[in-house]
Amino acid sequence: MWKTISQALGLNIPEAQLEALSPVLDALWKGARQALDRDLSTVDPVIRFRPDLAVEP
Amino acid sequence: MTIQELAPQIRAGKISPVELTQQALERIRRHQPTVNAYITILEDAALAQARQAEREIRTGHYRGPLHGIPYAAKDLFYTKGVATTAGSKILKDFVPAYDATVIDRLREAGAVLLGKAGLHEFAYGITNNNPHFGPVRNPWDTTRIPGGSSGGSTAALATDQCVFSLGSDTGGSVRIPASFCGVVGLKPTFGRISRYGVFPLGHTLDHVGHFAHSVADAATILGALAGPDPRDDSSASEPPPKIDLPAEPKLNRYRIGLPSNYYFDRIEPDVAQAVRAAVEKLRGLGAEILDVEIPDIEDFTVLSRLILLPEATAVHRQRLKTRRADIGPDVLALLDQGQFVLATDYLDAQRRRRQLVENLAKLLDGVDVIVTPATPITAPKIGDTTVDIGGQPEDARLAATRFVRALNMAGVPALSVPCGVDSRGLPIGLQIFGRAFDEATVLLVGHCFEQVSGWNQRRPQL
Repeated sequence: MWKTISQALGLNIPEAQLEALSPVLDALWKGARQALDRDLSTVDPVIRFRPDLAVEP
Repeated sequence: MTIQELAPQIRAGKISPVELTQQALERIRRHQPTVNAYITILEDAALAQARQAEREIRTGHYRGPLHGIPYAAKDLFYTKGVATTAGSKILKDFVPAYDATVIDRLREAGAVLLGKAGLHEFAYGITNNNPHFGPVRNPWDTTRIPGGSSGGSTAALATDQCVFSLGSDTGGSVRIPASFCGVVGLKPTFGRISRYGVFPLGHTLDHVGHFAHSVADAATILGALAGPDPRDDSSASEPPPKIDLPAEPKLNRYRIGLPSNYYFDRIEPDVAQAVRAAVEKLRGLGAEILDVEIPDIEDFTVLSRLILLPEATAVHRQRLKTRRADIGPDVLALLDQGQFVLATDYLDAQRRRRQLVENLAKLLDGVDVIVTPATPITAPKIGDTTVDIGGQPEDARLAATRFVRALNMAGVPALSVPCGVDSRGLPIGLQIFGRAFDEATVLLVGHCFEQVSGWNQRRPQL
């Protein structure tokens, strides 16, 4: 799956590096599904937009 | 010596900031070939600052307890006119045009900057086995890592190559090296200390923190660094905390939570034993110890990775495209992983983050602080990518960050204090965390523990 995504997005990750990453990404994906498989529609993400942000000096 | 010991003598003219700085520079010269704690040493500038401090103090212009005290800054704090590499070959010639707010504040306090301390490349890892500047070595056993990513700052402090040091903590980068090197490390509340002029890793997780030989010193440094900064959007409006540490260690009115889940499940026996012994010391000081269960803590450890991965990749996206060959393999692997996280997963992780904050706030209604091991392991060997815990192999980075990561998501203040050693003599850290913006209680509990345990007074024999 990761190889297909990498190619489709043009990430240019060498094959050997992608192979090494695949089990890590599999585990992360599985852990993420477990942790996120619930209705969160009424919870605001902690990131807020502030229209009054100052510009960087 | 600690700041608490040095400051009155500096003020009284009994200790010279110039001599103190010269001694620190001498120790740097002696230990740099072995420990490699520094990337840049600022000998001339440090001596000039020390001479200025000495002149000011002699003429009655004493600025406070950090006046004339030499320190090291992790090499991701911007220093005007001085290279700031972030531990990266790509940034080796980057010279900022301005100082980070914390560098400004320490200059105003009269502290003397000795140099820029080594770190894991881009602060993205726990080993400090830096492919561009060489490994920083743990002074307790130079075949081992100091922890990271602020490992240069703790290795320098543990060997008295400075009196205190600055670090940053995105997923444990203050508490892990503090634990592995046997020094005190504080990650204050998110927003408590300005991040202006600090090279970023994860913009919703990055905290500035610091290291010292005692909790009282950590409190003093916090007083100089904390407070609002209009140049940093994440800076909180709270004024610096008022911290009153008692002369007599007593915790009679305090309730301390000890997790009954997660934190003692996969852990080296020596670490568990030292932490349980520390809890008994706290009980002996009069604290009431209560079992607490931290809901879904395992989830939050995964979710903090889900947040950090894309945030860090976003910081380095352009470098990833154009400078792949100049990034070390472990950091490159993490930056690549960040390209595969869905935006919806990232945002849902930020939603669940709110639940973590609420869960912890509820728990901390019932107790004043919660104590845990800082790390389940002591310092691994340089080059080891896995560790063995109870016969089970585990990725060294994931093991080292397991107990600390979630608190970056929660943003609450967390302290690591030395609480023992393992059978090889390697330091073990006790993590103490509390309510948002209540560093005072966290530090008070750490200070009382330190008074009766004395583990912070041990130094490596190099």
